Amino acid sequence: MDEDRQQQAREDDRLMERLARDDQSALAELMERWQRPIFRFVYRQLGESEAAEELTQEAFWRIWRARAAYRPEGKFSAFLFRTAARLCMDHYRRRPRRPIQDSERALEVAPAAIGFSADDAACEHQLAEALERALAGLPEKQRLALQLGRFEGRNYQEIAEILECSVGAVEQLIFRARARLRLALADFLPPTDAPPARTRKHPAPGALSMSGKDRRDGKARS
Amino acid sequence: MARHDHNPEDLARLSAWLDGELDAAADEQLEARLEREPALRGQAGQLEALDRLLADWPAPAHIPDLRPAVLARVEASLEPWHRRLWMLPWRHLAPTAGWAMAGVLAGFMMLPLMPQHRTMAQAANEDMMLSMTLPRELVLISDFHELDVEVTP
Repeated sequence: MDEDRQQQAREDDRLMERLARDDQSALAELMERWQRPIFRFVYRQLGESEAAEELTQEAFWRIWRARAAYRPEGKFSAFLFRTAARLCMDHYRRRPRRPIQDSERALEVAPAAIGFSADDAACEHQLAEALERALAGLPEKQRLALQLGRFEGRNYQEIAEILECSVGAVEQLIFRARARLRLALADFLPPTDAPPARTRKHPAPGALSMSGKDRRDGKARS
Repeated sequence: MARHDHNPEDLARLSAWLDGELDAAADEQLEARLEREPALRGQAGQLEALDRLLADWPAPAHIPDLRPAVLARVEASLEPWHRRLWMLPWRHLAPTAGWAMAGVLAGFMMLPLMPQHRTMAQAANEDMMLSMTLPRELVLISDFHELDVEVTP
């Protein structure tokens, strides 16, 4: 899996070399590879499809503009996510994040997924809303770090590169995000004296969450 | 048991452990503690439940293909400047410009019909000019005052 990621990184660098020679088809290929992850990333950050569309386009436009200055010293994906993260931060300054609207939501939160039994749809809805509110209430850097770690399969070192901070700061950002969410969603979490549903070492087959070790091995989930 | 409930250090370590970011020694140490301490295990369970909950972080229902829009922008940026000028959305600006022009013209046409108001400042200025142009030597001071009173509203 690591080999796959390295191969992908080399291919990205080759495309950037072509881009530096004004080859527009290289941009089309880069977009083919990255527009989905970037759109998803921005959408989760902003909670708006329209703004996500605009910012994703802007991110690739900036990649195009930076084609001559780009040096393949770090990973291209980190460069791209850093560009998108900066755009998100600029967007927050203009307009704070709003919770994602029901009509836009693709997934409903399943209480069963956390070992919380709910018989009626009202509870499910309540849980989804609480999750959205809690995520919307996170400081932007915490939300960015959490998403990069949980969904983009980035380790702390890579998140630090993207957010332009130290690894220690990333650790703090993610821990604080988890602590805040834990407080905000306390009603929906099992009590601390309850035995864990499963441990990190023995994940349930097909479970949605992934341990850090898995992610470090490159098993990124979309 | 409640000793670990709100220990931020433990939570921070658990958070890094869940992400696989602890080194081997710290990893082993924490796992040994998890075996021994039910409260810590409970916290780990809670954080894992939170992570599972986060797996349902809403994803976009539809991801559009943004390549045509970006490539069109790139294409436009490669055009020479005089061609780019023609590509500006002039036809969208035309109605606004037309209305603005019509407003200015209407204003000019209405100008002669407007009542002329003398402002206080204008009046004072005219009186001062009148006083200054009166012959100084042939007019008595009292006449001057009378004249001045007459012309001053």
